[in-house]
Amino acid sequence: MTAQSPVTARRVKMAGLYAVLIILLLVAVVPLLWALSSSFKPVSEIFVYPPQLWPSHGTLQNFSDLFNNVPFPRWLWTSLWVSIVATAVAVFFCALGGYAFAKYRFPGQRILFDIMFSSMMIPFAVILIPLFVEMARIGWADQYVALIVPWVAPAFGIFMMRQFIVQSVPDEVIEAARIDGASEFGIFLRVVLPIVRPALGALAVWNFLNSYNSFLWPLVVLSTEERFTLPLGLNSLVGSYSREYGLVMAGTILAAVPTLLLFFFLRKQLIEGLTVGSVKG
Amino acid sequence: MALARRDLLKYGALGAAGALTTPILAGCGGGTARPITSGPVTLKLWTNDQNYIDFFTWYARKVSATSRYKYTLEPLVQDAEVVSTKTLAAYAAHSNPPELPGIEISQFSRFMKAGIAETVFVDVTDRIANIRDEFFESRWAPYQSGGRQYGMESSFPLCVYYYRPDLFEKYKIPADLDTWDDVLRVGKQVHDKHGISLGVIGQPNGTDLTWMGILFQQRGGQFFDKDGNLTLDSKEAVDAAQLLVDGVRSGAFLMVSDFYGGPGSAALKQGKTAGYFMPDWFESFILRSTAPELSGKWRMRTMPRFASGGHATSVWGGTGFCVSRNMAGTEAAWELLRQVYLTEDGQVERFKRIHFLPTMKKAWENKDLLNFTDPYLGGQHSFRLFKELSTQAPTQYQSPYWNIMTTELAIALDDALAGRKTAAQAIKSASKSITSQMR
Amino acid sequence: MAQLTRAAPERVLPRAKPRRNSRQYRAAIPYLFISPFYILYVLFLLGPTVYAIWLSLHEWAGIGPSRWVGFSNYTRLFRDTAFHQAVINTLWYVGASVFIVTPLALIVASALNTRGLRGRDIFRMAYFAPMVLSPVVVSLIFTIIFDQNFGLLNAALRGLIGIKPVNWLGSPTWAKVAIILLLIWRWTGYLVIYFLAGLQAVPRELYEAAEIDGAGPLRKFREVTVPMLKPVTAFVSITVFIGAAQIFEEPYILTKGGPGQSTMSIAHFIYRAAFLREDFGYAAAAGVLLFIVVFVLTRVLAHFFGVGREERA
Repeated sequence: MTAQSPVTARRVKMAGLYAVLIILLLVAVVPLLWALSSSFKPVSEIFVYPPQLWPSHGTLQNFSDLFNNVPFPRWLWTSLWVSIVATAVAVFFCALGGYAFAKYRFPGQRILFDIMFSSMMIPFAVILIPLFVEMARIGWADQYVALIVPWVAPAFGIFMMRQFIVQSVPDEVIEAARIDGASEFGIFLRVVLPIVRPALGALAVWNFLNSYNSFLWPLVVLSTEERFTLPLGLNSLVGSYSREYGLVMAGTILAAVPTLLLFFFLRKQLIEGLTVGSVKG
Repeated sequence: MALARRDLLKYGALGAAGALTTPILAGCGGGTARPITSGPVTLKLWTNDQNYIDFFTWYARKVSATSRYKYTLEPLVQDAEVVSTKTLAAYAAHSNPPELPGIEISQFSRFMKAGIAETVFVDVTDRIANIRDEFFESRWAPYQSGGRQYGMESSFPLCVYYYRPDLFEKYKIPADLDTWDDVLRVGKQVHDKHGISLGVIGQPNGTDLTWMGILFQQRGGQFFDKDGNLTLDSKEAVDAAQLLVDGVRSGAFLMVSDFYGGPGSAALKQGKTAGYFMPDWFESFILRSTAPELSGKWRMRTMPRFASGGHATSVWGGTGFCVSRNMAGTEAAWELLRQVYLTEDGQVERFKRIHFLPTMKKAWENKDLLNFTDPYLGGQHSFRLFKELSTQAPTQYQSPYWNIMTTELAIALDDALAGRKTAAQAIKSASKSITSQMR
Repeated sequence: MAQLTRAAPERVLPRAKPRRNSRQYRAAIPYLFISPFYILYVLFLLGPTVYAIWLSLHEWAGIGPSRWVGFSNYTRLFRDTAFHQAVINTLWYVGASVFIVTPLALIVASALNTRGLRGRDIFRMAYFAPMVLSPVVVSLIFTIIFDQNFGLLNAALRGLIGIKPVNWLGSPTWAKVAIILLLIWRWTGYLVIYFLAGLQAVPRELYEAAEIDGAGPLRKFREVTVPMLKPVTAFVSITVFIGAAQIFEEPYILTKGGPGQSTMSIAHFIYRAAFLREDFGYAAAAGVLLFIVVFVLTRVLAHFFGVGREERA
């Protein structure tokens, strides 16, 4: 057997890698493409068999109906600003809390962490009603604040930031900054955060998705159709016996755009985190 | 150390305070709001079908012109299960519940537990006493709890057989299918030869009893009796379940995993079936919207009957509108509901505008309605056929255990349809399991 | 392990004013940093949680009075075959999530981290895409894929291997497989993000050093990636475990827990008991049980991964 040159071997390996990655890409994306193309089909064509990937009579009717017949722009806007606000605040609080658990030793740390950690395991269906009663009692029923405030420091995010900070931020860097006389909060802002930018990006994506796709809680809290978030709005198109599939498809595709955009904009953050530099010794 | 302990104690105390103030949800209906007796009033209308919103809004304008109230409606639409969840949550938290909740028939049982209906709805039994006989009793029954009336039915979901004469001709299917036995026999032949079915059912999947419900009631059985006893364990149930099993096995009935989604639509549009046995809403909501290209190709006739006895038709579906009690708008809401649903004009207009069949006997005599023709059904006078059937509809009784019954029976049917149980075993085991959960 | 430091500049920040009581101030800082969580926790989570525990000892329909029943909700759960089924189903989902989805995501992330890979962004975005579709549409799509007669998967299988149509959604076993496939499709690419974020922080130098030692991709993965990624892997595995234990959406939207109850998850069981059957005490009891089990198992997992005992480099 003749020995292959290292360059060829590497090329073959890369080709194989690309092949696998592309297959995975297709598997991930084809259902979405079907939904995308269905949003351009008249309702009667969506469910032809075998399913068509390309619309035979492309139409913009679904989209125009979406904007004219139902308050889709308002749903979209509501979901967007609620999720963005919630995410911005949550990322900050989670990074802060995660940093505290990661890099400080303080009395009661163990049990405080356990309490925080275990709050992730409480099944939501069980606390939904009592929490809603509380909202009603403090006058937050049917208010946007109820969608945002209770969720701006999710335990998941704190745990996540803790792990990432433990992994990526060396104690020495923090100590050096302290020696230089930086305030604790200053260290957090100017030393730690830049290093864990990839994690912040990942957390932002998680939090945004969670908030954006949240259904049960906004359903119970919001009573005015004008205040509906996108999932509530889209679900109102799926009635008992009739289902406005054309609108649902178009709505789903448009609803997916902000998340994809967020991901797209954050990808630089996700890649270009400060790489911790030179090797010593 | 001291700092930490103090903080923990502080948190603990706050927590305990929070815990103590949160519960105490004892009983709603405390504190009657000052009732609005005239003038402008805003009513919240929560339901699962936009048609109801549209119709109520339109009719409310009509009513406002002559009534002492001036109505504004605040609608909310979500799917049936979810909108009932939201309504229950609103009652539980005393947080702005709707004055006019529209409760889908399969969800009504959720309001029958532990006297919920009594606590949150207006008991309308006495209010309708003098006009009760003007309506079909079979549609009062599903919205009662503890013998008292709470909801007003929105439609009369009579079941018929929708079929395609062109396919019948194409595959030489004899048109005179009289009994279900005929359907099984002919269906098997047609399926073996051409791969076509005579009906479609959706997989129960632990939740959907539509076709069992239709056939069981047609056969003369009922899930619960007037007093709430389970009457599932009966010959009628076995016959209905057996028909389903035989139908699917022989190919006379095509079974799809999602009747309302992709697979069901594919079956419809590809002409894989020559007919459907479904309630009237099937035509408006499914046939017309999913297959507009098949307009004019469909006709409707009475369902094939059970040779061993039963009704000519069946019922499945419906939505009952109730009035929330102890709210400022309660009386205004009752007045609106009464006008829209309990007057002949309201009933007639309801059919004209949103095609829901009337529940009031007089409305069935209306000339305009009798002359109604349906272009989708090739200009057939569908209303006249429904009229004949209206007097032969079975009465569907409710129970707080409806949900449990649905789950257990659907599970048993899944087993029967997959061949893991016989129809008789399925009915027996479902009944046993339901009874054990009825506490 | 190689030392990692930034080349220290002359001054990181302008010299801050010396603070009074700096030690006390420093001791209070961590508490201050975690206070947002605890304030919210006490205000919003603690009360309902304690109430839920109290409720599990009662019978309550959500409206009206509640009735004390002691532990009978718990004994009922232990006898409830539907609950047993839900537990078994959830175990399957947890197993698939922890042993299939997570390692798969790690592998894909490593593959994407390959030096010189073009189009990394496109791949990442594509793998992430399954998460952005709303559940209604996902369930629609997947019934189209999994339907026995009209489904794409059976059509493909028939074409490729020539087997009879599988009753994906109607058979208790295959329905679980279908849901697991849905889980893999939906979650793998999403977890890739976390692993990639972690992989970014693994210095290239370590890989280079290993290459100089003659390590191939497998050894590099085993000796550099896995140990360096331990905190992130711990995080992903544990949260995947917790998430899978509470899984609701995928089984619900694909099969609604059916056929029968063979795909119903514990969270669905709880939701059904609370909202469809107005049996809030029963639901709360199931919730408490779920919490206890997840808590215990998570401690085991955390111990296994050394969470809280991270060595200093």
